[in-house]
Amino acid sequence: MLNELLNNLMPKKTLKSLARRLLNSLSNRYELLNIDFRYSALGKTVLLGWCANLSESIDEVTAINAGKDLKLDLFEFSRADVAAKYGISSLNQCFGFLAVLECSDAQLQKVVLSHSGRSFSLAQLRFTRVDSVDALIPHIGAESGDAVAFLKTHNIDVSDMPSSAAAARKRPKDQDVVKIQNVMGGVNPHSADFQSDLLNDAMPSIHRIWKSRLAKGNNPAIKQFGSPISNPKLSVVVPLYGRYDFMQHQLAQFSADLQFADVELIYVLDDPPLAHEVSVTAHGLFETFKLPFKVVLSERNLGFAGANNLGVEHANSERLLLLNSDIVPCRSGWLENYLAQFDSLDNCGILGATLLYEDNTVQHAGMEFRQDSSYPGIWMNHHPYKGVPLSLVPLDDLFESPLTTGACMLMHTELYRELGGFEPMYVLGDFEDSDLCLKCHNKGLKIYVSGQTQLYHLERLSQDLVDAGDWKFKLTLMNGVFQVSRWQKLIEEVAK
Amino acid sequence: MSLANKRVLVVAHGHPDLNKGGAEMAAYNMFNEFRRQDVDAFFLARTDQKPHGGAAFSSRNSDREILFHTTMDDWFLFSNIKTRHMWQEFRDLLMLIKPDVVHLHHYFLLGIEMMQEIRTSLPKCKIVLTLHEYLGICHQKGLMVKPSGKLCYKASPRDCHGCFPDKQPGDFFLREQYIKRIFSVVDQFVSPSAFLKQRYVDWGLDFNRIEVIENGQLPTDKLKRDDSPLSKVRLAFFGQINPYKGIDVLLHAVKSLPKKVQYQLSVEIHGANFELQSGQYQKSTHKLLDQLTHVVKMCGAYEAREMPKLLSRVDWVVVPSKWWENSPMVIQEAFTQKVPLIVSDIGGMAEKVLDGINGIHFGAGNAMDLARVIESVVANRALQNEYSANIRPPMSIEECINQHADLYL
Repeated sequence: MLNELLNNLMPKKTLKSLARRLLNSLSNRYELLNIDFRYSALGKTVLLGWCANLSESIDEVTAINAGKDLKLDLFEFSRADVAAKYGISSLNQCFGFLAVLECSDAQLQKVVLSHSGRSFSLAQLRFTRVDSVDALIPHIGAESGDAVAFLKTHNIDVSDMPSSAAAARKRPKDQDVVKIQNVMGGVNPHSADFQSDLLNDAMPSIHRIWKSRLAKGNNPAIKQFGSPISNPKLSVVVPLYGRYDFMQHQLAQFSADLQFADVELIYVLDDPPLAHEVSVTAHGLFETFKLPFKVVLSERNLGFAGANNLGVEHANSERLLLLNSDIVPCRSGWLENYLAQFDSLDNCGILGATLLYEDNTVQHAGMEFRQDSSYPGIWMNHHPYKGVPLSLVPLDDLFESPLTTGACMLMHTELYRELGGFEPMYVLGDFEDSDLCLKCHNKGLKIYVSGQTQLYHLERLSQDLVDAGDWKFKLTLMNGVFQVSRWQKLIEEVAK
Repeated sequence: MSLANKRVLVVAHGHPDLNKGGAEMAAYNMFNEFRRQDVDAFFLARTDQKPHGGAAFSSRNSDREILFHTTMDDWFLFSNIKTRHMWQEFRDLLMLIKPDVVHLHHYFLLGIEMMQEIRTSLPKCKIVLTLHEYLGICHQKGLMVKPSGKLCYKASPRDCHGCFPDKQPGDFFLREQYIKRIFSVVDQFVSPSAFLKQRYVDWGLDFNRIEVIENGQLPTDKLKRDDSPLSKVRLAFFGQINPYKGIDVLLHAVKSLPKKVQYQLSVEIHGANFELQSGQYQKSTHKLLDQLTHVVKMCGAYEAREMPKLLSRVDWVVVPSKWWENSPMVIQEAFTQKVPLIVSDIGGMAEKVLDGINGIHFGAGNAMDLARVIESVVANRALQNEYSANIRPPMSIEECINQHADLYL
């Protein structure tokens, strides 16, 4: 009787769901999954969302459809905002994803996604349906080019076709980087012993990983486009990684500048999977712009230091310009004056240049050491006047600076070789440039910057990833600790 | 002027037999007029048709009309360098034709490096480029309209990044530098409107390098006005149907009119490609059309040769575009048939149609304002005759060619 009454008052279904909700709130839920948007077409569904595991690494995301395994392909990208919200730092514990499911719109209600042992029924998740896959792309942020390429592999075309360079393929995870991330995961940046932990624990194991990587052989291929320059007045070395379209922009501009006629231009592709694409593009670029250059195709990814060092091995001029790929000149006819300034200096180790953002504000007008405010004892490379309109900054035509950026360094090829080039043990790149400047100071040579030589340096906007828990940030600090361990006394002298 | 002993290559991004855009038509009309005047002219049009195995070119209509089977490999820069089409096949063709003048009406779909190739292979060849929209300035299909639909007055790397967050400000800066670098090999730019010229001058092109020349009109019969049997005021829209053309503004305006006014009105919409638009756009347009079946008729696609006849049954042509336009073909066509126009008060439309003289302006995108104008032409039927009488015949294709010939020499 009572049972009947209860049943009438409260259907079984409601009871069950109440009980489930109660259970859910009692148990600690570490596994999270959220879907923001859904797009369906031609029997395929694309979901955009994120997942997180607050206690440990996420294990594989899988899907089932009405009880049967469902094919799911995942493109992962970083979601620093989600990670920050839950206070987790490891990429392995939180990522955004695009998931391509081989199921139609109608079947979606029966699909269940799982990760780390917990299931999430799509029928119970709320998300917005979009009419065009294009609408998903802006939510992916910096990695959207890769996302477009990923979708393309599933024959899903994003109509606003990206530039060739952005359409880089899905990059497989670099196993060394994964190892480094794992080491860094164990380092707590808020601990009082943070710096000594870095120096004594993290650094030796990370340097071990890096040394064995660098010890592997490399048999680079050299491709010459056009006739080699005999007796070049300058060798320019430009490393390329990912965005090889920068080569197109530089060649278009350099080819319109008569002062580049007897310059030896050397591109170093530090991104082996792109070798074919870059070779094809390079050929077309030479045929179009007719400026000779060579491309050194590295067999492995060497990082900024290694790529430059490899390029310099192929430099034949007495003078050497190390240039980043995202630098283009403000105007033609700048090179002769830059070289003349360099030749006029005695005792000069490196001559840098004034670098601008596209809005004509300062990106670099000399560089100096500054102690990190949160981590005293680590010296960071500071760019004075960064972001200030150039017209406000009183720049001499030529001035001494404690340091100059690695994005543009003019020096004698012989000196570069004598100094051993860039130090490759700054893992994934920071401080190679200040380190090279320190090597010059150590020899009693000076660093100068040309205020007359102004070039655009088109750095991307910052990505708001600089929180202390981020492994890349911890790695930067480790490299800073490494630099101090090599040069403490000299740094303090230069910083005065 | 004389183009005797000059060989002219006219380039377009499509052949009007296959794509009936304004720029394609303008280019092809010029080519045909050259041929009529016995000028040694060739026409090269890009196509997406399948070529004979591995061929880059094919011919259409005659040996002087060549289709170029190619496409861009980078849609951000309009770049075409990865295939050998530009620096081998096109170079070979150039060396066979050896034109004294290459007049490009586009680089879109063809590849912007085409101009560099002409300069390298034929250093003395005159390169003329007609700018038909704002493509060099704006990645949003060259419309200078923001994704929100707001009009854009000036491109800047930071603002363009705002429209396309997946592209960095630096990418937009490089895009601009690259296009300007290629444009540096052009001897002479032509713009069909002063408005578009000014946009490119603001962007950084030299004022003196851009000549304003309106698209020439083919000779057509001037048909006698066919009076409305029901004594209605007849409005018509002609052109592509897409969200930027502002059909919705027209429909909303008509919908807001009092029933009494609606019944004195007939509105014809002549346009192609409605079925290619997004589902949502089609749905919302159909919803409006369903409510206006007593006034508005969808008439579908039309051929250029039908225009005189269609226009002879129209009192006013409406151009309600929500983007700036350059020099819409329909304005010149309406002028040919002495039909006054009601147009958005921006860009090329405001320039070509004079408010209160040969047409009426209304606030772009403002349906209420358009409704006000429609009501006024219904209330005052004499305006049609008055404004029609003020229309001066547009420039003929012959005059257009003569003006260009001066640039070629």
